[in-house]
Amino acid sequence: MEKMNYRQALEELQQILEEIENQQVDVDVLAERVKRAAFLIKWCQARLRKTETEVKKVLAEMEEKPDQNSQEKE
Amino acid sequence: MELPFDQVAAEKILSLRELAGLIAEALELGLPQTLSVVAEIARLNLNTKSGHAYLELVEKQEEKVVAQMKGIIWAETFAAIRKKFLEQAGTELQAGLKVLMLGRISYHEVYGLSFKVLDIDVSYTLGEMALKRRETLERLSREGIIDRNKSLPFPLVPQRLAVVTSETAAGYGDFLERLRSNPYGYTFQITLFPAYVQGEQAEMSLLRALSLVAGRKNDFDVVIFIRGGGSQVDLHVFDSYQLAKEAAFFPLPVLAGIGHERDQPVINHVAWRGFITPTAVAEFLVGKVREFEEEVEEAAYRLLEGGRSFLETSSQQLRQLMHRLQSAMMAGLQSPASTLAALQSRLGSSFRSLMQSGLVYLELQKQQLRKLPPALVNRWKETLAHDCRRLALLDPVNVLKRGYSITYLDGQAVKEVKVLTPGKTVLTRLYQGAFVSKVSEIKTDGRLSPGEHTKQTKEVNTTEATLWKK
Repeated sequence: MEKMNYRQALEELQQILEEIENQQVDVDVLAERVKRAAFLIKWCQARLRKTETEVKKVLAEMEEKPDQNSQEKE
Repeated sequence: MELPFDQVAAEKILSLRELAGLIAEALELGLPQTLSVVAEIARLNLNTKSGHAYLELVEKQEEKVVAQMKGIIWAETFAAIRKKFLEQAGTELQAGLKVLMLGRISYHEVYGLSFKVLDIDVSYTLGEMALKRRETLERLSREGIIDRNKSLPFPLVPQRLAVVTSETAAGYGDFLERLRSNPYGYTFQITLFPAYVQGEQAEMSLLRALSLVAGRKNDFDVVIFIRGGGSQVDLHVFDSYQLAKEAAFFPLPVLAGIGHERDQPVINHVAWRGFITPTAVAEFLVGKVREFEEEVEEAAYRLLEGGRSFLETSSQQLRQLMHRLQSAMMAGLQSPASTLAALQSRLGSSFRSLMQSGLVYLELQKQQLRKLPPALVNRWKETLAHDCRRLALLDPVNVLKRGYSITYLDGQAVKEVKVLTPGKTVLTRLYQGAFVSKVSEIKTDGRLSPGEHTKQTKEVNTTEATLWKK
């Protein structure tokens, strides 16, 4: 699991939002950025509510999902 | 050295008891019957059998004892004083208090000198505490440390809490309960650093607990002092200058929830923020976490809106591309075939990116929809469905529908004639069905004039055509 704190997560999230809202990203990168933003949102919300072990479990599940998605795309 | 006996003959020889009697007489004659005396009770031992209370009275100057005397309160008097103290100060007469006593000096042949207490003025003790509190506050202001802790940045999400209190302290249970049952389901990691919150040992105990927290400061977001209810005397330890100073210089924000309805103890003034009750601290913490989540929710909302308008813009660009493609074809099919191919490939890759972004966006929307008000959800669903329909219109199949075809060689779309040689077998896909043909001749000049049009079809002559049903 990547080491991240709430502040970093929020800052990254806001940066992505700015990029998307200003339409600074290429459409090819959009999917990736949106996915990252969704991950950050979920990470924050999970961590606010779960104990540390539970958070790790949730994140492990989330990390499996993008893999499945990329397989589907291939 | 010469001793006095050598010079002065003793006129009268006293027994020790006679001497004691003389002292007692001198004290009785030389001192008023009753005296009002101010002193601090350094120790108070209650003889549970007899009910007498034995005191150690001291006067201190800058923490140094400058006078000390034994005191005694006989059982009957002590019972009355104790009752009065409980009624007026809400607490037991105890060590550490500064008291104004009415009493007399007594001298006992065996037990020596002591101050016999006849009464204690409770309001003096209370007034003294209030005065001392004010003095401590003034001193902290003067030394410039009263706002020191307040200058620390407060953590974005105060979730790891170091709580300094007694497990049995009033209000601690309420504090825990309020955190556990917060309506948003947030979790808090609470670590208790046990300490006495009243009585003689309280100050040392609180200071020790605080230094333990300091040793683990990276494990916590905030440190919290909790003590619900209690009389002014009970809470007096939270007026301690030493404790206030340690709290002021603490590397983490300090929250204090020391309950007293009238005057807040010194620690509440020194803390990053002081509260009247422990539950108020809990509510503040939940509120802070909520503030953060609201920011995250706001971000999620903006992500949906931003993603939507992004896709809207992108599909608009795609439509423009389609128009350019169409007008290129309208222009009498005179533009070089390579331009057409380039346009087609651009169209294809843009379409794929857009579809991919759309899929992720759709997935995200699905996840977020559940949390949003139904009216908004319906609006989004509609626009999304609309977008999907429009995107479908841009599918290459619709290009084929207009009479264009794609020719494949070994499964790859043929974009340049140089990949072909006479005799190669190619597959040509139409809107409906496909056919296989053999290349008979190659024209390197890719220009396609209306006149040559028929000729070209002949050149790519269909031999042994097999029709494929789609």
